[in-house]
Amino acid sequence: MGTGKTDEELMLAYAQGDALAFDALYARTRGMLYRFILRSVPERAVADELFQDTWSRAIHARARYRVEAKFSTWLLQIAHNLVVDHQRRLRPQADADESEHVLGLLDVPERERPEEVLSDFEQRRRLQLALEALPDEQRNAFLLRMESNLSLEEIAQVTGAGHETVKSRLRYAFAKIRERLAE
Amino acid sequence: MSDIKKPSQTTPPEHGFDAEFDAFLREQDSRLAALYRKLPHPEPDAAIDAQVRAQARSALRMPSEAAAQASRPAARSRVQRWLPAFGAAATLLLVAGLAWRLVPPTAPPRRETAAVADTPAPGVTQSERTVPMPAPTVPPPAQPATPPVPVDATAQYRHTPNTVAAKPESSVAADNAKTDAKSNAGGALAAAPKIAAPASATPPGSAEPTAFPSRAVEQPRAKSAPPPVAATAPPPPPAAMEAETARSAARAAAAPAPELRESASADGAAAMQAFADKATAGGSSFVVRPEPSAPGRYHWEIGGGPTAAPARDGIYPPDPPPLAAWVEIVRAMLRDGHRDAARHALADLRAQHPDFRVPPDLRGLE
Repeated sequence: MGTGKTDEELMLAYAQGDALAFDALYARTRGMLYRFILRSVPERAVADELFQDTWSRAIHARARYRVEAKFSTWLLQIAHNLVVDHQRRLRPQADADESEHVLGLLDVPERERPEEVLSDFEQRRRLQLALEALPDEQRNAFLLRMESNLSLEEIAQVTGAGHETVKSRLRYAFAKIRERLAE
Repeated sequence: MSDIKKPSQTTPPEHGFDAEFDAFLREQDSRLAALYRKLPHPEPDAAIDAQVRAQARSALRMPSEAAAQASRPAARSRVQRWLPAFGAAATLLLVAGLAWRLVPPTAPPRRETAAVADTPAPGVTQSERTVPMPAPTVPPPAQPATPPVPVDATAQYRHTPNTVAAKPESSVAADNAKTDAKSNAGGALAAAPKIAAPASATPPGSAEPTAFPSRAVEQPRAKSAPPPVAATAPPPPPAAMEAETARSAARAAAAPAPELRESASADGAAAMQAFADKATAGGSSFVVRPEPSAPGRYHWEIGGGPTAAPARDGIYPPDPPPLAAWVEIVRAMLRDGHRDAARHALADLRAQHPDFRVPPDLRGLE
C-alpha cells in the first residue's frame, strides 16, 4: 500500500482516514526519526518516549498538515521541538560561541590522522563519543544532515535558525568530530 | 567512499578542511558520512511500533478533534459575529431616532440650532431641548488607553531595529508580525490590551465582516474606553463624522507601532519569520482583546485577506484561534496576570501546532 506515493501524499491520505497509508508512511520514516532522536537524546528510554510523543503529535495534528514542506521535514520539526525541550530541561543552553581553536587543530597531516590508522570499530566508537560531546545545537544540525540528509535550508526550517547559523553549526560540529577522531 | 583530496605540502590545511566540508555539505560521499553510515542503525522496538500504529488507528476511529474544534468556532462565530452588529445597529437606531426627534427637518445646521434655541419647535419638551448637541468641536470618539494601531510590521523592522530591551514583554510580537514578503497585504500586530492588526494595505475596518455597519468597526474599541458618553451621545454631524473617520484613518495609517520589537536573536527572527509567514498567509489580519465578561478569556477575530479564508472569530478558550492570534492571546494572558491560563493555552497551542517553535519570550511557560 502506498509504495508509489510520496510521503506527503500518504500523510494526506491518512488525514483522510486511510490507516494503511499511515502504516506505509510510518515504515518509511520510523528508522530515520528514531535515530535522530536517539542520537540527540542518548538515553534510550527518553528517546522512546520522545519518539512516541512525536508520532502522537503528528497524528493529533494530521488535519492541520499541509504540503508546504516535505513530510519528513515537518516530522523532524516536531521531533526537534521535543528534543530541544528535553535538552533545555537537562542543561543550560549550549554556549553558541565556540572556541576557534578547534579549527586550528585541522592542520594535522592527513596521513597522521588517527582515523587513517584506527580500527573501524574504534572509529565508530569515537564518532559516537564525539557526537555525544557536541553542543546540542551543533549535534542536532549534524544529525539532521547526516541522518535525514536535509539541506541547509531544510535544517534551518526545522531548527528555526538562519542559513548561515546552520552552516556555522555544521562547520563547528564537523571540525570537532574530526578533532575527536584525531585524538 | 571517495577519498578526500590530500593536502599537498603547499596547500594550507584549512583549504583541505574547506574542501572536505564542502564535500560533506554537497553530498553524503565524504569520509565522515561514510563513517557515520557505519554506525549502528537502531530502530524502535516492535512494541513501540505497535503502539504508534494503534494510536494512529484509534485516532481515525474517533472524530477528529481538529475537525470538531474547527466546526465549533464556526458555529459560535456566527452568533458572535452578529452580536456586535446587532448592538451597533440598535445603538445607531436609538441615536438616529433621538436625532430625528430633536432636529427639525428644515432646521439649519446644528450649530445655529443650538445657538438660537429660544424658539422651540412645537411638541419639543425642555428636557429634549437640553440634550447636549454635538458641538462643532466634537471630541473624537473615545479611544482606548493604548489605541490599537495598524502596523506595517515590515516597516517597523526597518525603522526600529535595535529596540529589543525597551519592552521585552512584546519583543516577539514583532517577530510574529514580520510580514510575509510574498504577500501584498502586511500582517500586523499591536499589543494588548487589544491587538488590532488590519492589513496595512487595506483601509481601517476593512478586515471587519462585511455584515457590520461601517460605524460598527469602532464599536469594540469604544468598549474598553472609559467615557460611556460615546455610546449614548447623539451622533456628530455627518461632516464631523467624516472628518473624524478621516482622522482615525490617518492616525491608524500613520501611527507607529510602539510594541513591535526586533527579535533578540537571529535564530528567533528566522523562526518567527517562518511563523509569521504562516500566520499572515493570505494577507489576513487579526484582533485579540480580553473578553470583558470572562476574565482570562480572550475574544479573537481574523479578517479575511484577499486570498485568505473568510473572516471568523471566537473566544479562547475554548475556540482555537489562528496561530498568530493564539500566540498573542498567550502573551496577553501573561500580561494580564493569568499565568496558569497562559501555560495551558501554550500547551494547547503546541498540541494543535506541534511544529510551532515556541518564541523565546514564552519558553519560561513550558
